[in-house]
Amino acid sequence: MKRSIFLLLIILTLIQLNNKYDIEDNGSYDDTNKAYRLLQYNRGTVGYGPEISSFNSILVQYNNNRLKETDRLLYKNKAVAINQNDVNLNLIAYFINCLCSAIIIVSHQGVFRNQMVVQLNNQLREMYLGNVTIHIPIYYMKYNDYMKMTRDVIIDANTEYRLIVSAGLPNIIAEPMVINFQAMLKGYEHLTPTPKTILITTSYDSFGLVPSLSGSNNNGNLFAMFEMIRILSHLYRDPNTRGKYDIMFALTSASFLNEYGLKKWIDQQQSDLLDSIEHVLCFEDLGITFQNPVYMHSSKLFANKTANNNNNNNEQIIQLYKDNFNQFNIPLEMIDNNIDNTTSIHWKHQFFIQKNINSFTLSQKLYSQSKEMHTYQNPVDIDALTVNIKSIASSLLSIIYKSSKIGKYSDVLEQILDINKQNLENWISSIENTNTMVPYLQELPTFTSNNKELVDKSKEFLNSIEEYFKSYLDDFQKQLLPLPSNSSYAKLNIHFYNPVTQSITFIKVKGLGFELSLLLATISTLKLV
Amino acid sequence: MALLYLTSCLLLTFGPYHVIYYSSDLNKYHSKPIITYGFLGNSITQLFKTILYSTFSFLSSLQIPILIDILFLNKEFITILSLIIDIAGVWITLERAFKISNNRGPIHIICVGLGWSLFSSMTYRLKPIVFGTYGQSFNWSFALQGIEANLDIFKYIVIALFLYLMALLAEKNHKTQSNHKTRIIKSYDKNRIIVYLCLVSYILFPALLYDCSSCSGGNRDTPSSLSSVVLNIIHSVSIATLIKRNQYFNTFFKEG
Repeated sequence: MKRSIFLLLIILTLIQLNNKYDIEDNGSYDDTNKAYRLLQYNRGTVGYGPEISSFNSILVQYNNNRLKETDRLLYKNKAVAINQNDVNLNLIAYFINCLCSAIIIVSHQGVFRNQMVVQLNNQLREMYLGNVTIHIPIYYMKYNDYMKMTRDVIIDANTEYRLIVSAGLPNIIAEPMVINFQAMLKGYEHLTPTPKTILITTSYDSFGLVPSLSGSNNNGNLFAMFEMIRILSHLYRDPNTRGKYDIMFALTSASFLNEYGLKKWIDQQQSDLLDSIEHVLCFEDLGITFQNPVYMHSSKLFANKTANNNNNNNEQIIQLYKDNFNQFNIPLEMIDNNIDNTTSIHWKHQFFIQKNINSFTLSQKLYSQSKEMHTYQNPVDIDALTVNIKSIASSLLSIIYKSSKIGKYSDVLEQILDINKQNLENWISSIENTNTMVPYLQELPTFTSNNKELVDKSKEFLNSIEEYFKSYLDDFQKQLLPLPSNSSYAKLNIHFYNPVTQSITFIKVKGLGFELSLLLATISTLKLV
Repeated sequence: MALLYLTSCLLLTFGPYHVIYYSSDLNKYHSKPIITYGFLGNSITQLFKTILYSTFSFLSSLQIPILIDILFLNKEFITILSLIIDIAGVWITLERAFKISNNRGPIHIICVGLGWSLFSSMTYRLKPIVFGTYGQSFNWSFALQGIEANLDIFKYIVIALFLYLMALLAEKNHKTQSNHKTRIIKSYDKNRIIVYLCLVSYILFPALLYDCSSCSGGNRDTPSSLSSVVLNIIHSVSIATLIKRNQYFNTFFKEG
């Protein structure tokens, strides 16, 4: 008996010595820690982004001083945690050369903000533009989640704890869908043989290198649309203030895939509707910098078939816009981007120009790349967004109510045009953690159960757009279009991969040798007893 | 790898039963029925406690201040009450066990204690060990559960022993006692206070343990902690030392 008690005391002492941490901490397998995987896609035979999603290795914290050749061994076969401030292409290439098993990019300290995701996008876009092959998983984590997961474990000194993500092999999203929404406000001339329509269109999706957080890259287009719907529907509700124009609102998707959604939306519309469109207002990136100019991008076809009266009409419209923007002290500058049928499309309005429909795009961006991915992104400036929405709404009202009828209701107008900044901020922050990127925005749950939360949030996002449209507008329609992977139009041939969010755990794992020796010690204890 | 740790924990938890059964020659005394009695005795006692608690748990919703203060919000009170019921269960089991056997002695006390603690280990420790060790995460608390299970064997054997001595006291005045029982009772008389203290300490100790683990931030419902195991060992070692030093107990085990 003495020997057994003695052995027990030895075992307990060893446990106490070995265990630096509170033994009540049972190395919890906490499923609530999320890591967001960087975007992976194929274009043709070329792969972009990390090709692997699972790993199981010891965690090492990246230190600025440790980038010498001799430090390579420190990172070999280990998961490296890097602060977002230090991320750049050279560092990532260094770790890939060191043969590390995974890279975890940790956001800035403090409360997570969508600007951090926008910044990460800009930091990593070179990695996708340059042909860096990435055979290791790269994940992004919020600072608070990372600290909660590591629980003050001294990472560098600790070889007992391992960082684990079990995700399986990445799989291609089969049959991604593009979803377009449309609805309208009917004017008092709706039932006449020749009703006139003003089309207002923008895209609601956003592109992000961290797809799960692509809502953070949202530039406020959707919410600008929502505000315009609210303002115009308020006036159209009352027969005394209803305008003569039918106003159609179209929200399209797949904007970063050469505006595939918009192109298909136009193709699917009846010719009657397209003929009735007097002009199209497209807008994007309205919230970049407060009091910076807004550019009105317009185009003419080189073989210009538009009649002279259309040109006069254009000039009137442009003048109305300029006057209204001046009221809010926002300079409006004209940019002419002339195109022919072979020019690649850069702006939304150019699709309509090709159909001989008068249109232009309002944006705070001067240049637009060819609607490809990996453009430089800007966080939303709420002040800029607010004042630009007001300017556009006011211009629309001037166009719609060319007669003096609206003058009697100036008090009402002032109230209606008052855009609640807090509302916009709340909307923008509500979709921060939502995946608003096209191939991942699905109505039907085609994912595995790991991504159930992802599916639920996307469905919520799409449902909320639908409900908003239905509550303010009439004739709501939703188009579901398959996104072809090899379309000759738009040269798509692109496949996106899952997973984009995974549970990450940091748990104590013992090796085979240790457990075998523990078993032998137990057996010898029993034999001694 | 998980299987190795699972095997170690299961061996640590249940191995001593096998060792005690064969090393103390229990197999020679046809003791399996008595061990089964101990096992069933514990299961019926726990069932009774469950029924009792669920029958009277409605009282907590009545918002009667006295009841709230004493009964349902005071977990130490419930712990002590449940241990008193356990003691009563051991007493009844011992009586039943002695009835099926003509001979009374330490072998039967050990068998009842063994059976009782076997049920306790299987219900309280088996599931956490099996499901906890199977994951990727390593945790010492499951090995500590095994050590606590071993201490429980000692605890229940000692409780059975003390209850047997109390039964002998009740028979003190019976004239047909054997000689060795008379000697046992005589020396028991001198150590009565110590015996009662030890028995009471086994009732109060879990409540004390609960308090200690709560103060240190632990939770009685979570897997074993190092502090609870150390406290258990200290308590058990002190009792074992008392038993070993006391002449009466030596006599009891020699002549039993």
